[in-house]
Amino acid sequence: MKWFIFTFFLMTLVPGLTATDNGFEPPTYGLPIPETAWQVRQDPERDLFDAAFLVHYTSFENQHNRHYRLIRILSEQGKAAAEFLHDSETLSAVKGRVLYPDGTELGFDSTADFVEILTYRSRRKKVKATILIPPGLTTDCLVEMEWFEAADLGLKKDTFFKRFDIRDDYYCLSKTFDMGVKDVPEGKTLAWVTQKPKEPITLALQNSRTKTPTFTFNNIPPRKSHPFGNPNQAPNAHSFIVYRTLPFTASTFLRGKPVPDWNGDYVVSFPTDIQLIARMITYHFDNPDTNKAMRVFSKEVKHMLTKEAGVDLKKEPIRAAKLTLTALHERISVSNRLNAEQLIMFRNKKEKKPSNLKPCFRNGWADPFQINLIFVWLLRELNIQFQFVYANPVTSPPYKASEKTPFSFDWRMPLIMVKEPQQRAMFCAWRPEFEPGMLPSELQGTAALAVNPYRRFFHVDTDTPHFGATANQLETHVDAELNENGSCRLRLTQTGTGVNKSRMVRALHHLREEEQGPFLRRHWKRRLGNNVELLDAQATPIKDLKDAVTLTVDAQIDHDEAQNWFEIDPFPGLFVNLPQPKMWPADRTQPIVLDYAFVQTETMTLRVPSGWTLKGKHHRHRENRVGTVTFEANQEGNVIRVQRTLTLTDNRLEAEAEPDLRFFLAWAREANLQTIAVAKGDAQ
Amino acid sequence: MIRRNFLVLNALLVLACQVLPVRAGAFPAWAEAVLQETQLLVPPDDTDMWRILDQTVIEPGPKGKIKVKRRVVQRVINEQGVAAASMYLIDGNADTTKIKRLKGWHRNSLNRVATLDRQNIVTVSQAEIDKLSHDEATIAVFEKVGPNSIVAFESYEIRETLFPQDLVFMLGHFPIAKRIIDVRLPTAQITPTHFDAWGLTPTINDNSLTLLQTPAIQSEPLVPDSPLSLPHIIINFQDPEAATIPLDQWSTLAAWYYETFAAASAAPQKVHALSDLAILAPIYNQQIDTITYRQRYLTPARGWVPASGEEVQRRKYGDCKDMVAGLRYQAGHAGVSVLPVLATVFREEYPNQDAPVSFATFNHLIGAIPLTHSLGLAAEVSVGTQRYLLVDPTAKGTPLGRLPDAFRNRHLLLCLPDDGRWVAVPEQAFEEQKLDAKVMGSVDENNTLTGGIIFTSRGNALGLRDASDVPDLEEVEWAIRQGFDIPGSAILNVAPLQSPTSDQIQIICQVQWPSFIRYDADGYRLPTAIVPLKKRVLEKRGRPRQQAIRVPRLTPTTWHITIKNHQALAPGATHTEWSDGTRWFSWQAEAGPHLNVTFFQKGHTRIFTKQELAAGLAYWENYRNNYNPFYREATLFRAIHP
Repeated sequence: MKWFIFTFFLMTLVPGLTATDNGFEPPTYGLPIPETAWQVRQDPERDLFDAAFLVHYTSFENQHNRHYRLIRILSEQGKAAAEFLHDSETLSAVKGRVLYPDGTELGFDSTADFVEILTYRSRRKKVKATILIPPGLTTDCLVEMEWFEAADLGLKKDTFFKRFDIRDDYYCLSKTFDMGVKDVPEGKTLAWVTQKPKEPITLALQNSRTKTPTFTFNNIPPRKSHPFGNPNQAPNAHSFIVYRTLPFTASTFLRGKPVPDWNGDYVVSFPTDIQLIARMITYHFDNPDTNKAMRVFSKEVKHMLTKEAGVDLKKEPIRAAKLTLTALHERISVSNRLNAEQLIMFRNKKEKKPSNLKPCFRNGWADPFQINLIFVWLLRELNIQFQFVYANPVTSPPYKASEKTPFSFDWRMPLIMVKEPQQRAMFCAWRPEFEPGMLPSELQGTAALAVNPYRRFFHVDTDTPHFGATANQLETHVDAELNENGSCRLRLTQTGTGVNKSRMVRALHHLREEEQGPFLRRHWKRRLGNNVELLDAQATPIKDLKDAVTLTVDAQIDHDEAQNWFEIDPFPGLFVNLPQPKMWPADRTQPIVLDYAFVQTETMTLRVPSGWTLKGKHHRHRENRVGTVTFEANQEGNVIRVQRTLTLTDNRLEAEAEPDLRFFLAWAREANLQTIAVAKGDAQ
Repeated sequence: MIRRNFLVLNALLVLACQVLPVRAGAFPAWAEAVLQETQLLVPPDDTDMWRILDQTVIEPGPKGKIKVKRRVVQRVINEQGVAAASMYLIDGNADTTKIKRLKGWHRNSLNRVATLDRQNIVTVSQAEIDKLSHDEATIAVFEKVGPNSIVAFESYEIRETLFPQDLVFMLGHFPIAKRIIDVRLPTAQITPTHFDAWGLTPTINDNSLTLLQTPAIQSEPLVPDSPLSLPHIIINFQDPEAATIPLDQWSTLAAWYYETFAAASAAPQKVHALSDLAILAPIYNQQIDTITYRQRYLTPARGWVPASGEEVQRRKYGDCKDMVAGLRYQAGHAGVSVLPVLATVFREEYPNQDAPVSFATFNHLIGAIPLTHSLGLAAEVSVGTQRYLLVDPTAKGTPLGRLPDAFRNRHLLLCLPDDGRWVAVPEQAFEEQKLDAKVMGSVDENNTLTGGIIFTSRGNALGLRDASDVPDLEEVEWAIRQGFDIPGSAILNVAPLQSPTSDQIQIICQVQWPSFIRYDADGYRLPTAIVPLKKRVLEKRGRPRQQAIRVPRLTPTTWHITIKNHQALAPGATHTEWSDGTRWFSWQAEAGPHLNVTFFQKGHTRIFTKQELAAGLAYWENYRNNYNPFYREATLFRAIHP
């Protein structure tokens, strides 16, 4: 009956899907191939190029998962569809044959066709992989393959879930997942979850002859990669997740009892699984191993908040949390962001990675997980209520509320949310380069799950805040003087906020003070190129990630004195930090994800000899929904002023914005290449 | 598709995730001695890591193998040098290289010494899905290395070599205070190569060579892709008593290879010269259509010895020598002979019979088919009175009777029974390649071009000749963007391909090209895809050029632009042309609201060796002095105000 329960749950998630009892017939290796297989041809309308999976079948079974493929090869490039790399340990009984249009065939089940290589070998482990390049492939053939993969009741040993992307690199006519595990012992149930696919993909649910359910997806276009994209965020991104349910009920655990034995009863509800796992994982945050230094620090923070900053902890929990995190970052650094002095201390210490929080206050650093633990502990000490917020970076498979699976998150690294009646703030304690309350751009504006530890781990879907372009400003001023002989001395001064500032600071703060200057000089020498002479590059000394930074670069450019007008690059070494992808595949459906939104402003003040003039008119403003690009130049007396401003309004754009983004990138490049012409007198 | 770097990344991840303990110990005496010896030396400016000692000792190993010992001592100068100094790498093949010893010591800035733990050593595969092999890399890493750390590694491995020869390269990406190559093989002879050009003055005692204060290889633009142009030592250790592969003359190497190839390919013996192309053409075309290029190097000799012709036909994949073996097998059944021809392609080294005899000279194999008489084909060569047709079965887009452009200016070693002959590839062997683009449409106030472009490729210049019957238009678009350097921001809508003729492919696109006319200086310019930016200098400021210069080839490309602009423009020049025999450009433009421009450029590859550096720099400066003013003045359009 268990399969029926799961089918019921699936049907609640996939409206309109009903199981049929027609009896799904699993594919059998070695039978005659139907003539229709040969009729599959390249079809641009369906994005069917090079190869297609006619049958892509995976059966989850008790001891071995069975895989079967029938592949139509249609071109030289399509031969890759039949290639195969598998870890040797779990692979067995591979069979395969190539079938040709004239009815002949070539088998490749001999060992000569398989290559075993060492994947890696360390002191403790040796892992091998098997590579198969099927022999005899042509640009017009079929490949039939079958292999088995060792499994423990449907999953690889010691794993508890597996996510399958429905899409492959090639068009797939039919992809089936057969839940063939039978007679499951209590506590080892295999569950699954998927969603109703979008057109043109269809899903059929059937029962196999053995009365286990099968899920067959049909007409699956290939997975596509787009610039600034994440295929997992495409509307037709679709997964089939198989996982082991937990062998005990949430209610038992939530009553505070310890983790029960594996033989307890099991959970069949996906939402309850999340609640239970949230309780289990956040258990780490309940009782960290405190020590005297932590307790002293907690008292200091409380004193600072209430006596020095005058914070009302009950009414202003967000302000309190911000000040607390600032104080924590001042006291404890994150171990992957140590400054130069701390790096020396860290490297000179013999000890291994500490297993508890005791050394953190002594050393002055903690790893990302530990800093989160301490922050949560401090909030609890201060009676500031918070929630755990789980969010995935935008480059990973996104959390989908409809999936209701707890498997997409890094459960050790939640954001911490503090709420007031009219507002909320989220804290990323392990990224101290950002002001408390600011999130790294990859965690901004993404679907998330909030877990409330004060309400029996009640969880709701939410999203993370999204900060605009003005949070990441980069301002550069170039002060320059042009001499009669064409030499141009210039001084460039740069400051930034948000991501821009964090990048400037992180490039320097782990370097010793005497290394920062040479590093900058080398860096700017490269940026300025061989046609510009770097005279100096300096920055305000950086010791802490929160330090303000101002960069100063002195350089000289020599123009050919014989020329009667000079082409001057007003902003040498400065460019828009955006890639210019060469290829944009058609029919984009996945949203656009850029690193971060920004406002980049560059100004130049150029003093020229008397009588020298700026040629041409310079006032351009271009704007679309992606951003704006402006370039202006004018002259007053002997001073020419140039301003270039680029604003990328948002770093998350819908797919339809792609043409506008391409225009924006072209405008940005044009502004980047733009010079100004300065002439001696009225020379042409 | 299988991710090719998956294996290496996976292994590095495993290494990174390990908690690595620290062991205390003493710094080895040999490292202390060299530190003592070099304590008065100062590291070169602008380096992040300084290798104080890099010593390689090659000794006889068991059963005809060699024993390679290495010792390295390096000092971290600053934070940027930490990663390189912490790591030690041994490349090798699982079948031919056995690492017998690998030790390491790290002395930190407090003079505490830690020794390398075996947990810090990982071996990863270097196989790729289209390059199957048992090649491996063993990596040893120290944690907690910082500025002023001194790191030492010592290793030895037993290596089995196919040839009685080894090559050792002298320079690296960091300067070396003391570089020692000590060859203790009884019959060895060492030949330093390219030392003079690089100003390296070694001390040589017997077969022990020492260099002091070697420079780091600099990163420079337009450098030839040719490791053999860097200083290295060729070590020959042929034992006259042993039956090893002869490397005394090109002819003996070629004769050995002929025999080896003939035996391995197992083709029919009763063959003769080709008299009629109709016999060969169907065999060759079938081979071209069915065999996929893929390397499968699973035995020590597989870099040289092909699979049997029959096996190649069964697998339907193989590398260059497999493909020639497959062709030899198939042609042999038709009574036609195919000989192996050793070649160097892509690598910008142009060896001929005067080059030192080395197996490392070659990276490719093609076939030569003896002819009874000339068949009038372009890729025919003569050796004495015998005429041969050269064929490259890996070159899918190249018709039988021609060779791809990679063979231009090349010499090849034809392997014959008991002999070998260098032959020059004739200039007429190559198809004439040309690219042509006709741009039509109008440019609006935002400088966006809306219109169409007709792209034409001749001589397979875009590589689309071997596209499948129903080509993916995205592949066609990619070829256009690569061939014509069209920016990604330009939106192309490619029409389905018309049936291409054998030598010409035409592609029609609708186009929307933002910033097609771009503001610059006090006027407007065409996009950099059409008129490339000014040429930059090749020497870094304050640092003389170090490496040889490669002036790259430019496929002859013509842009014809006939567009209506939103305002009337006048070009800086209506007609200009220039050439120095290596580079050509010509420009024709008319003023008015309709912009009519024709711009053509082409260029030959030209290599200036290290010895010819001054001439190379002068050449480039002359090119710059002609191209840059042309770019600045002639190609700048200014508005015509009524």
